[in-house]
Amino acid sequence: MKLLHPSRLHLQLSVIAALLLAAGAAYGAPSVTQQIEPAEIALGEAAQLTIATLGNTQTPIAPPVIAGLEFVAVGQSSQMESINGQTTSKNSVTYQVIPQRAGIFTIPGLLGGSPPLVLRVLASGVSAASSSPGAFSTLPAAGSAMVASATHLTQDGSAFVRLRLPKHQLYVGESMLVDIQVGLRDGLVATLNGLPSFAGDFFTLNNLSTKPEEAQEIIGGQPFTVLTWHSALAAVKPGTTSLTIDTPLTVRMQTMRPAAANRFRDPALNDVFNDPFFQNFFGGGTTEKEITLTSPPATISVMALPTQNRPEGFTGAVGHFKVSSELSAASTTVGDPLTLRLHVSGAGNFDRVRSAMLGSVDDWKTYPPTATFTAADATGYRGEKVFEQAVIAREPGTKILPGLAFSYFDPDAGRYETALTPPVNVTVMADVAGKAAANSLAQNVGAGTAPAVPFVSPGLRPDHADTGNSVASLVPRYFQPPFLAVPSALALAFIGAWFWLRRREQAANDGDAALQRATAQATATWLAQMDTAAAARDIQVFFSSARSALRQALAARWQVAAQSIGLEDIDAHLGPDGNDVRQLFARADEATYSGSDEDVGDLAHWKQVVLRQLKERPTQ
Amino acid sequence: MTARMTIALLTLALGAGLAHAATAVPPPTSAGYSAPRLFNLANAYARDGRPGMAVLNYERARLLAPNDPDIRANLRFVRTTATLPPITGTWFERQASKLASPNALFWFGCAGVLMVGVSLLLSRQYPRRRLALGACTAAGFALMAVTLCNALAIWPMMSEAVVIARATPARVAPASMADSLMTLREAQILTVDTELRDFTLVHTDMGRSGWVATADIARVVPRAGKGIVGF
Repeated sequence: MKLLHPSRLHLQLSVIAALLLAAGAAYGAPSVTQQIEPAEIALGEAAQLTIATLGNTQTPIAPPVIAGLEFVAVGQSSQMESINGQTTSKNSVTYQVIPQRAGIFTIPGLLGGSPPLVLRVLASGVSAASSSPGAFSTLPAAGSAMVASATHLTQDGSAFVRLRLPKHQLYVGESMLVDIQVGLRDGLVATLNGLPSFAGDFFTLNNLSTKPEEAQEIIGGQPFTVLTWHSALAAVKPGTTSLTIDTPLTVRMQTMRPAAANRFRDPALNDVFNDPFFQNFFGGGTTEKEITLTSPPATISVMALPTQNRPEGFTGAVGHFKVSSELSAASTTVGDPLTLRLHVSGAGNFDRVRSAMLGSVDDWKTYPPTATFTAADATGYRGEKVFEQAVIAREPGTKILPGLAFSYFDPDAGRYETALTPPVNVTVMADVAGKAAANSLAQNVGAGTAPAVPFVSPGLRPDHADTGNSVASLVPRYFQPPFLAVPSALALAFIGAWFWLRRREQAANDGDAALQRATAQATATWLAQMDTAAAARDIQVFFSSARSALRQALAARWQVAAQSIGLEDIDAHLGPDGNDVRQLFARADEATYSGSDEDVGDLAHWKQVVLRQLKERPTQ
Repeated sequence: MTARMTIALLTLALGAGLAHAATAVPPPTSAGYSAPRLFNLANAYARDGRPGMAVLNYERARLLAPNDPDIRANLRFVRTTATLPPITGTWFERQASKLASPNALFWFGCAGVLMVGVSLLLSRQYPRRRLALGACTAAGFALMAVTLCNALAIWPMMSEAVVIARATPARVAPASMADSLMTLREAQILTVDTELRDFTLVHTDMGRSGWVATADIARVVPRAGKGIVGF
């Protein structure tokens, strides 16, 4: 067995130990990488620093503190991977690096895991943006990236407000997009008592939304909720001013017991247990205080618009615009209106974008234009304004509608621009109503004078002859209460008549039924008396009851009084068929006045006569 | 008195009442409204370059003579000239409002009530003629339905107004110093809501609302005793 030399053995053990240590460090300790883009910028521009942490760490890595550089967090991301049961996470935070002065800055490596970075800042006026992709210029064209003002926290570190401006120089009337950001430390700020505002008369600010964008940002290792309002700031008058944004807040002030502070040796534990949540949990009290948060001042220079070469039709529009025009039809008839549209699109102060369209044009009658604006963003900074004008041809032939001009001031170029639209050829056909009528219409419409002599307009159909029939009110009669009473009264009268007739019929039906019931009852009584008299052989009572029963039945049939029925009525109503009835009436008279007797068999016959008549249905 | 005599007398009395109601209407006067007069007035405003007043009077003329093609044509022409969108509305509103003039349809409705009432009463007395009387009842109901449909179609016009001033601002509150929400175009038709002092709350057909100066708009159907402009 060959023994190693002690010195070689020591060297090998050292290598193995170093490898093990490196592996342990790679597994347990996080690795940090940082990157800055671009490495060279001009003063007034901003670079972007990305710090990525790979490993199992929960501690956010704050950017270094370097005199002359400000770091503004603009975003962060997290990513987790699990390979063979081992979980690793990657967190990256992106900062905007804003230099305060020119020079060469060295950003040291963080946690020793990454090499230092060098940022070269050129003096103002030396443009590095063109050679350094990714740099954010502070003097950009409209719509370029914002540069935030410095982030100054309140004394208790509970909140901040900052203004993000695309540039610091603008012209009177010019609008620029601004972002107003209010950072609120979670748990320390109770309420936002109002929207951000600013004092002074140099600018106007568009209305701020009540629902700002919300994002999370870590500043100084503490999480903040950042509310961002996008708006447009318009310069009103020339001069140099400092713009600050004020925001009213209510913050919670901790009233922690002295002994409770710094009770832990480990600063990390102190950070955790000094958190407002744990302070409240352990009985630390809070009081609320209203404060007004003010952003660091941003110096803005507002320049007056040049008076030289100012176009005649300039209305104060400042920005970047494109124009185009269109006509509703390429051909028309004399007197028929056409719609001429001017589209002005782009970015700028659209409230000052105005156009008189066409004024007095030969062969054309023009009307005052109308304008509609369609915003392309929430601030109204970008969009399109469309002017519409009705024009009427006065003469037939091939006519030319002249092009439209729109003048504005380009703040980037620093000069006035006039955009022109091409003229439009229109074929105008003669109208059947005649040339004179068209001229008369065009001269009178819009001139504010009524025509002296009625005429037939090519567009309007002629007047009507007045028939003399008129109404006192335009309210339809079915909405006028006096007239509405007519159908109502009709309906009520018919309803009343209906019920009256119904009741009358019902009463009549009730009388007939009662009469029938009484007749039936009386007839039954007479028949019973007939049976009793027959049994007692009382001839007089038998025939008297039989006659009464017949009278009752015939009275109901003939609708006459029972007592008035005599032989004449029987002859009249029954004729030859009434012989039995006539004989029964005679027998009854004979029995009453002469007292003659009859045998039982005869009485049964007469009862059948009575029953037969009772079965006859009464005539209607 | 028999039931037949009762119905006959009732019908005669109601007929006499209707005739009296018809004659009770004030006689036509020069201060009243007539379709030709409103149409000619609207034409004059159109020639004078005042589309708001022109549209107002065309709309009023259309109310009295809904089937007049000249009124429709001139109204369409003026609206086009003023770059206003064409007149819209539901199929029901368009058809029901074109049946006849509302005042004529009112008498149709009354005749319908009369027909229904008389035929129903007679059907009680003459059950054997129920078929003919039933047809008469159905015709009466049809007349009443036509009048009702027309009234439903016309009802929204009772609260419509026309902008008669140029570039009328609609404000957030009924005050001259209130912020302007939108600018209403002359001849634009609005729906009137409530009035407060010299301002009126209006709604556009796009669903937007605002307060406008009452003097800048005119109701299509002026309220009684409010003059020719209507407020």
